[in-house]
Amino acid sequence: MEPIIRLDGAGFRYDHLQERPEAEWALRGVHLQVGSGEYIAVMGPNGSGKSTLAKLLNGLLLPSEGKVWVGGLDTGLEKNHPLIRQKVGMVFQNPDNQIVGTTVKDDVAFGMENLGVPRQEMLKRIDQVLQQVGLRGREASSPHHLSGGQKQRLAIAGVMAMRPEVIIFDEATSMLDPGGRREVLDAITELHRQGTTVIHITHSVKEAFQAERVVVMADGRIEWSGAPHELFHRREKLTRWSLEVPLPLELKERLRRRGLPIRHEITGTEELVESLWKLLSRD
Amino acid sequence: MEIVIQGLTYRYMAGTPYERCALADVDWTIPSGSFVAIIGGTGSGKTTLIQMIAGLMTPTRGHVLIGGIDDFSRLRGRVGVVFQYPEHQLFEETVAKDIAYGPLNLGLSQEEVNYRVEQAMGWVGLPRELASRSPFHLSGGQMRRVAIAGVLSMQPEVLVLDEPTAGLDPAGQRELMERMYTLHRERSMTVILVSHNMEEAATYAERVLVLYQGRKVAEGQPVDIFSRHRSLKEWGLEAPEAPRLADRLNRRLDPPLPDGLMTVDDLEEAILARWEGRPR
Amino acid sequence: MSRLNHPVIGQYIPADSFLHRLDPRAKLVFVFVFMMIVFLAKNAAGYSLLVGVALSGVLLSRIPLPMILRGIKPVLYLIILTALLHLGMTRGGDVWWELGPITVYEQGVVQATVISLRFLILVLMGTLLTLTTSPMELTDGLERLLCPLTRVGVPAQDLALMMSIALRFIPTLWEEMDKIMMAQRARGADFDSGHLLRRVKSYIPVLIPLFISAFRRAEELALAMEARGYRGGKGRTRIRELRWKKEDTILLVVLAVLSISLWWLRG
Repeated sequence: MEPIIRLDGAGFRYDHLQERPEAEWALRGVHLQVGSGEYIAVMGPNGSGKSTLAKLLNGLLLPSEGKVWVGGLDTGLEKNHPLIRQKVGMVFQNPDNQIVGTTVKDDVAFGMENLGVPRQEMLKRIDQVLQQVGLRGREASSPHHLSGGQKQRLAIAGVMAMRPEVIIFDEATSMLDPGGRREVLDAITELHRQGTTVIHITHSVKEAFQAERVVVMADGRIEWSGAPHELFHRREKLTRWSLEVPLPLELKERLRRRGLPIRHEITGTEELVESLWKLLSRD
Repeated sequence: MEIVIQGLTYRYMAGTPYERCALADVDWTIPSGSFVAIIGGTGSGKTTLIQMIAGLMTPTRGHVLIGGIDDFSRLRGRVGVVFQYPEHQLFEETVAKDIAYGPLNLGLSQEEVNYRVEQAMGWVGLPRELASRSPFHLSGGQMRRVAIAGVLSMQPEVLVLDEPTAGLDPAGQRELMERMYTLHRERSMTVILVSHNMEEAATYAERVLVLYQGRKVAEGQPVDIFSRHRSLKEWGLEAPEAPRLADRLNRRLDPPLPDGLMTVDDLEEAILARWEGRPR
Repeated sequence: MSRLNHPVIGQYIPADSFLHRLDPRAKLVFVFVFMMIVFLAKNAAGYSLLVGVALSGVLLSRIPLPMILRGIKPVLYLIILTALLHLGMTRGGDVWWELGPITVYEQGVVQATVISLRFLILVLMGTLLTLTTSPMELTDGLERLLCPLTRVGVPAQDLALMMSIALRFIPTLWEEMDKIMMAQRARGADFDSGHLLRRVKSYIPVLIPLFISAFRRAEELALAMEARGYRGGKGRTRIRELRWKKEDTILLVVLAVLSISLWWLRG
């Protein structure tokens, strides 16, 4: 099946740096395919090109080399942009700086208004998406009175109302408290369950583990790509990519090094607890 | 300087129908030169409390005594506050000028100010050649350091840190906390850390205060606070991962591992001790 | 945060009254025309009519009088000052009082009364408009009224969007300013003492970060709007709709009758 998103050797460098011959590439030679309905996490340290990648996926930035295809449409052609923006929605990092409307209802409507959706249809969809993100009954609230997590859910509702096939979360949890993070992560899981393609850009290894596939970026290139549990055996690499090492992984590695016979294949807290219990209570 | 907080209460818009209690009857004593943490969910009153500790807000009732003094005009510069995302307050043309803002407000001589700027840059690990650069052309992590240096240059005896590591990557978070911890030890500076990162509180704080809906609901050593898994959940908090893992293991292990395993180091040692001491 | 909690002068007060329910276009047209026909009143009869209309407005708004008065208060000093000037300066008619160098003539008293009454009525009507119409409704009303001008190149929809975004960000920036002031105060800033120039200067460490933040927000918002498919006013549908009701037509009829009566009474 044709992937919903395809990058063929895509690269990007910022205009103002181009005068210099050694201008830095924010992204270089990226090949990536995202299947319809897939849930991908993109990780990497600051400046690794994660956000540039995200902006290439819906034509906010155009590739300086290579091609980016969304549902068979070339993002390099301006005439494709309206359709691409409808197919690929985006939730940004700062909850305050992506809300346009003076009320919850106005904000959800903004994207649909741009698409020219008839008013009756808008009202129907607003009701539906606010129900889904748990903000029904807050239609008339000012966004200013919402918590961080609620603001991000509002942003998600605004994107959902445009009926996109893909939603990109560009570090959408990084400015939230633990409660807000949970709210957004739950919303992401639910979206994926309903068949939306999800691309989640994050610093957090813990969050990335919710995805089906993890892509690690470094210096504008894809360093590694694979299933999250495979990442679990790569402690040294996580450190090298300056990503946090999850506690169970750290503990497992340390105990193995000191001679405890723990299996290498363990991939989560549950399994580790199980295995430690068996080891320690053996008569 | 010991900090004594007595019956501290703050009501927003007192006397109107919108009256809301942000803080109610909080008592707490922070010993001189200690490292403490205030934890609590959104709306728990953390921010209100630190604003009053810093003398930036007048309590509705109760008071804050710092080194026995409750007149904040006499405490100028002795309590430093690093607010959330402090890099959003940078305004000067150069890094050095921005760091000098606080000391200049204290009325110090130019010579003293220059010395302090250089010293503060060292404390936060900013290379000296950045002094004449514009703070707005630095990376996010470096801007954060400039902002923190701008508070440290006042040489406060009490330093309040409100979510100091928010938005930094894991390596940056660790480095910043280590630097603050070193300063605390070397200069016996009292540090009050406000954080929703429980790992940080468990690793660095000697005592932890838990606020919930404007009230003090618990206070004690991290070991005691973070073993109360059920209460923490009720207050909208979560224990750090190490004690959580220990708890899950102990629910099945007989006899359980000892109490008070706060970090991955603690866990490693306790498990190893059990493994080596097992009957063969 | 403290400053946010105080109602701003003339700020919208939600309620369900006849005035609140009126279409903002009808209210805007009424107030606009009213402000011009006030000058038609030339005698007691005319002024009684205007006062009657203003008082009916107060009653129909269902807003407690003290709240309306609070909205007018800042302008009250200006009105009193103007009245006093007229009292002292206007000559003509009998001499009513003599207080040292100041002589008050009959005409002075009349002028002072007329001017302050006119002023008061104008301010009252403006206040009633903003008290009973939310800023968003005002924006929508203006947009629709300006709509015919789109043909001569006035981008009514974009202007309205700009206004509503400004409204959306006022509380955010307000709160941000409080935060920055608090942070700079913690670094020893003093915003309250010294002479004027010094006080203005003390705000530089607040204003620069505030501007930088506003620009950053604007940049991010523009990107977010583009990502949500914004391409200017063309081809957009609208969620907000204005409904012209019977009451709105009645209001305009009242306006017409009022204008004609004032013209007549002008004598």
